[in-house]
Amino acid sequence: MLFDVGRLLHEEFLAVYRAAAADADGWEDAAVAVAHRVGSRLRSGKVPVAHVVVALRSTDRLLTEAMLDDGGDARALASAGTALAAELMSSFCVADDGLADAVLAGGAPDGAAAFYTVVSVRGALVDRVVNAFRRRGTVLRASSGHLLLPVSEGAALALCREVCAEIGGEVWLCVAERPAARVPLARREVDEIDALVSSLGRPPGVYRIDDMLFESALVETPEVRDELDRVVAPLLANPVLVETVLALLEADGNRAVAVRKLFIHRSTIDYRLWQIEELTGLSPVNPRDLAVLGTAIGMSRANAWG
Amino acid sequence: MTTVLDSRLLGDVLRDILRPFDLPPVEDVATRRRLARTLLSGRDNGSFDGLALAYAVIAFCASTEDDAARVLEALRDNADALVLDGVRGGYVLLPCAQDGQLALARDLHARLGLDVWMGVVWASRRDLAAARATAEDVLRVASCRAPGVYELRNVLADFAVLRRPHVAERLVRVIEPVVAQQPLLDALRAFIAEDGNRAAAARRLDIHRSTLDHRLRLIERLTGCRPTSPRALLTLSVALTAHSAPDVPLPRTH
Repeated sequence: MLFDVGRLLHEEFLAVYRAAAADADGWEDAAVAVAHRVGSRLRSGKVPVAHVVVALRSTDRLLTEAMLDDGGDARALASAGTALAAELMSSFCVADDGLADAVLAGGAPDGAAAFYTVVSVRGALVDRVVNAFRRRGTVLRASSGHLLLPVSEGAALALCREVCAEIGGEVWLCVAERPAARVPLARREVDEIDALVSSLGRPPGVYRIDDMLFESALVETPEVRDELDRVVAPLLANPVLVETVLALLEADGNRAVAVRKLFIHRSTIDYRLWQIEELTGLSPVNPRDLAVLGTAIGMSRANAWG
Repeated sequence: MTTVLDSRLLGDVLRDILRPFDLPPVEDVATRRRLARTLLSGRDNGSFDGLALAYAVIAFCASTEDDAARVLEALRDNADALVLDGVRGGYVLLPCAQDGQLALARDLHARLGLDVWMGVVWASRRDLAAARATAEDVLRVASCRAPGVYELRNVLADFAVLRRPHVAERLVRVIEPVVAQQPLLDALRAFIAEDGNRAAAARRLDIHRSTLDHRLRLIERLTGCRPTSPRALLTLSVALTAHSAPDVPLPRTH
């Protein structure tokens, strides 16, 4: 496939330069996303890096001059150019990308570390997360969107928490460590944890298998899954009771707190709890039964059985 | 015809469908025991005519041999019941319509009034072997709790973990630091036994409420699980089961 690289860059980057010239909010994120998209397109089109560098230079000059003529902010334009160029060129650092895919596929190619922690990313742009990790050390990015860190799970946990705090907002990272030859197992593990965290509606943060242990055991045991379905079926027909279970769970089983959250009278919640026990055979007043009810509701809602 | 009579008639019809009519006499304990073992081990090839279509499978154990013997005594004249007995526990098979198993087991338990634990599962005749294994694991978990009748739904999380050794292994690692310190272990056990009621747990241990709170905070620091959160308490409780699920004194089925 032949590219008019200069034209492609001009068209794609125009909006970013415009936003930067006007100093509009969020142009930095847009720059990262655009540059990465264009970069992968050029790479998959096997465009030589030398061509890209030449095109990048002239595009930057043309766009910067045009924006300056319109009275754009010169400092912002300069940093937009740098951000776009850096992101675009990082797509051409193919060595680590190929390695990530090879390791994730179960090969332990030359240059691979002895072990890796696989990280799954949900809720944030993978590019932003990669950049945040890159500032803290080595990170490989696979085409599946998984990241590989050549560190132990404990060290990766700490890094992930820092990255989550830096990025802020709703980000879920799941981690699992394995020796290089068994990285596919780690990938499966993070995907399973992420599916559970997502279907059970757990808050944003960093998760590993220890945080979801008994839930994963529940999902893996067929007779338990069937029984959970039977327990929760009569409850699902009554949204008010479902809401009551979830509110009570969120209130750590404290009825007074749940009552305030639901805007109902104390005697109303007592009646509902009695109904729940009649329908399910589990007592929401008992914290362990309450946790099982919450898990059953979460799983049935997301239809996590697959 | 009154409604009462109607329901009695219905009851009679149901009993005719479910009731074994061709079993060895109740005096022939050995033959009936052999039959129970055959059914529970899954070697039933359909050649026994007198059997019901579905059963409540009750695995039970007692704290003493005498108590276990009294369970058998309570069933001695029941021509429908098949029993495979061990020293302090055993299996009971009772013909049972679907969803009737809990009432049946509770009725038996209430008549005994002893420290007896029961795990009950309903199964059609061809699924009895799987039901036996489930009843045994339910009983293993239940035997760490108060005496009574338990179904799978009462012990779901613990049961799942017993069936998944790799998960059990990781949970054991989570709880080990707590198990290593007797006061913390006692505090956690009491807190779980009292369904998360701190005042009741402190009374049970005869310690001050703030002492209990302090121990619960230590448990959180050691495990990363906050005992006052229902989800975390379930994880801790399951981890204790994984750490020391007792074997129950049940007879072999094959």
